[in-house]
Amino acid sequence: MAGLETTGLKWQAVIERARALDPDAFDAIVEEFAPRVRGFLRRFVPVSELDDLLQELFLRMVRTIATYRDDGRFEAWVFQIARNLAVDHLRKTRGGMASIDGSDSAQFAGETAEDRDEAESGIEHGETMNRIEAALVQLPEAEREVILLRHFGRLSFEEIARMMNTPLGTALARAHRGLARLRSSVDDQR
Amino acid sequence: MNTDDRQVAEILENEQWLAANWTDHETTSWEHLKLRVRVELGERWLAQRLDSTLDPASAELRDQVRAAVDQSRPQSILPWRKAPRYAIARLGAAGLGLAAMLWMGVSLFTSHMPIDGDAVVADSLDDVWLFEDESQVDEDLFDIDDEIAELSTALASLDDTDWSEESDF
Repeated sequence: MAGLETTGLKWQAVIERARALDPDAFDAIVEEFAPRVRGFLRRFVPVSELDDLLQELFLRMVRTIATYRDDGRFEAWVFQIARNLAVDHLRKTRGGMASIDGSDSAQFAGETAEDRDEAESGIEHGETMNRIEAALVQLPEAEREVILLRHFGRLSFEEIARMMNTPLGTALARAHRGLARLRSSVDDQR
Repeated sequence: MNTDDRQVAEILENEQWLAANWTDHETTSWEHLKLRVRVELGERWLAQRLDSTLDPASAELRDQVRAAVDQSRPQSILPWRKAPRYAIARLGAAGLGLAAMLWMGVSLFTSHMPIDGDAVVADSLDDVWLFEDESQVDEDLFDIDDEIAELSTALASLDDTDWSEESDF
């Protein structure tokens, strides 16, 4: 997977131009991160609200990019914003304290499968992908979040642990359990 | 290999399996999103330029531009035509119109009804009935017939009269 790490110099320049509010730099950021963030958010919010949340994410990036400390981990910053948006959304829709970790994944289990069919009609998906999707929504929320942040965000476990406010060992354990369950579930469906 | 290393190795192996088998084939166009971002960037750029102006003449221009930008933003208040007062006015006007139509309809209907059950509105002189009921008309006609009969009798008697014998002149 190509990530910012392998193209650090290129992205360093892009980020610098983005901090100067260069529209072309933000075009590049949208092209790179919109699919990944959408893939991440889609497992936490209904498809009908996805585009609004995605737009809000990039507008927040524009408004707060001056505060971004250029420490080479632009992805972590982007996905922290995405995670905050997902948490805010869950808090609004469910009321009171809500977190991605404690949320009931079953709420979006049926929705995610249906919305996926609706949103991606015409796109062919292999059977394995469908099984992965079905198995993913059955995972505990915390394990699913770690897997998604690794898959879409390409974040390190240190960054994920910091984001989820958990020890590094817990983040590793969640990834290990979640991926093993995921693969086992897909293999069992064959 | 200790437990932690084995755990990490298994994680990496499963992640590679996931990456190979699970790809989001997004075909979404992001042009609308880029456009929205550009609008936001443009507004922030303008705001920064306006705030950095120190020249008094430019400050006046800045205030004018700010006012124009504020006016171009969608207003949160309801458009005039959607204001509650306008809805009430429209309802009242509709009610008045309906009442006027009803009044006209009733007027037209009642104007064709006879005021007195025995009288008939005449459309022409030919239709004018001078008498209240036909029995009076018939009675008068009989009277005329009687007079005509009397006159006929009188004329007949005049023909038979020898005028040479009777002369009062």
